[in-house]
Amino acid sequence: MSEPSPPPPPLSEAEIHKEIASLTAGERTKLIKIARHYLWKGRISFEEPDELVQEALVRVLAGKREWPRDLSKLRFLAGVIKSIAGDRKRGLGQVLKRTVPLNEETEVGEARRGLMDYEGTEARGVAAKIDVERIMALFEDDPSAQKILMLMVVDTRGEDLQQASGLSRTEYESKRTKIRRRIEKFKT
Amino acid sequence: VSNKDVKQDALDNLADALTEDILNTPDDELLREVEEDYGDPQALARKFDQILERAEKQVFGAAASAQVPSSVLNSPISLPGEAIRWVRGIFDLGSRFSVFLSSLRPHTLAWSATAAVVILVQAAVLIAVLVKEQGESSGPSSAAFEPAPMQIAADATRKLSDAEIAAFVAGGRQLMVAGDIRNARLVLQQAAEADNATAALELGATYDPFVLQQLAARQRPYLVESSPESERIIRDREKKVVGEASVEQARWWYEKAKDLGSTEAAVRLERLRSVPIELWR
Repeated sequence: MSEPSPPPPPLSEAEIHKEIASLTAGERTKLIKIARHYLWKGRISFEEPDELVQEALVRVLAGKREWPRDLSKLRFLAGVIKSIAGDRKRGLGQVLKRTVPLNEETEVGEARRGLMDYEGTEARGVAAKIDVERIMALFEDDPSAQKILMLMVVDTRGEDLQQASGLSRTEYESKRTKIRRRIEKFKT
Repeated sequence: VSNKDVKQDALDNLADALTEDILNTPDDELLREVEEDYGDPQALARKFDQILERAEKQVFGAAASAQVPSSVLNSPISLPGEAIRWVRGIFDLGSRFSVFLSSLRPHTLAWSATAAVVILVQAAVLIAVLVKEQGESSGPSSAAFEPAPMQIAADATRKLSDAEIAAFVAGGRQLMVAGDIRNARLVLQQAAEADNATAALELGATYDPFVLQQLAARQRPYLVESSPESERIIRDREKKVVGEASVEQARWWYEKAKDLGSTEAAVRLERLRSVPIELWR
């Protein structure tokens, strides 16, 4: 019985540079738009999507993220953007904990204690709920868009989402574009 | 896009769904949307290029980035046509010289030695041409070959890891969002003093009257019930937040951020110019 072949090595530094340099205008546009959707002011530490994209590029260029050979460049870079947004959201307190001991009698130690207090509250959860409610309010004129949105926020995907919406394929796709565009305009 | 180890919430789910939508939308359709929003279909693509340039600067350093812009990624070396013809001419001259030498054939050893000298001369000329070209293309000074000031300064200041700097910047921002401006400054200062452009920019923002005004206004919608008492509390809070402003401090940190490569700092410095000097503090 033959052993399974090892996975192909990740992209080399030169290949990474080549892939990034070959991104089309449409692909570069997509990445900026994607970053905007993972950025909710005040919920993660980036104020602007530019910074989130920059951080993703820095990590990729510095070789801190392995680029699997079988993953398309857009999916890979979108994944890095999402992952950084997630890391920032949950890991901030942990990194600060390592950097400044909680009992350190310094002004920074004091500041960290203040931050940990904030992290410990439900302020973020409340802010997320408010954001979702604000987004839903954008579609008060369109109950079927609201229905799709609700399904999206509870993580319904693909065919299931279309079927649950009760719309035809064409109507559903047009509705999704409408939802995305209106949210984009709301956030900019 | 999957990252299952991150705990998902409603907004993450929504972002995932919208990301799928963007990935599945044809490029030309998205570019049309950008044209509709910005009047230029390439607006966001160009923004990406600027971000990429900053990222390269951050990873490879200011000097390396100046010498190795992203365009170089497509072609390993680019010289003007005239320089290429010059180099080729030298090689042609060398090869003609070699042919001449080989036609003499007095002693093989002597020929080899002469040919080696010719090759060395060719190499030296080639290097000289390349160095000359680099010197011309990198502007009037040879600054691109010198270590960037920020690198020198970084050696003289406290060394922080990328993760620490990121944590301080992120922590400072969280504190700002929470309205704890003074502690935000303390946290951001750690990273700003380690010559981090983003931290310097963010620290400047903690003194920027425009940013503080926005911060105060952003807290207003969270007021659930409006009453004279709650309005008074909010007004007092706004006054307190805005009272933290110092144009002078903001300018100082923005200047530092600008020196460290922040383009946003230049924009904010320009905006601060509109503040009447009598209101500076």
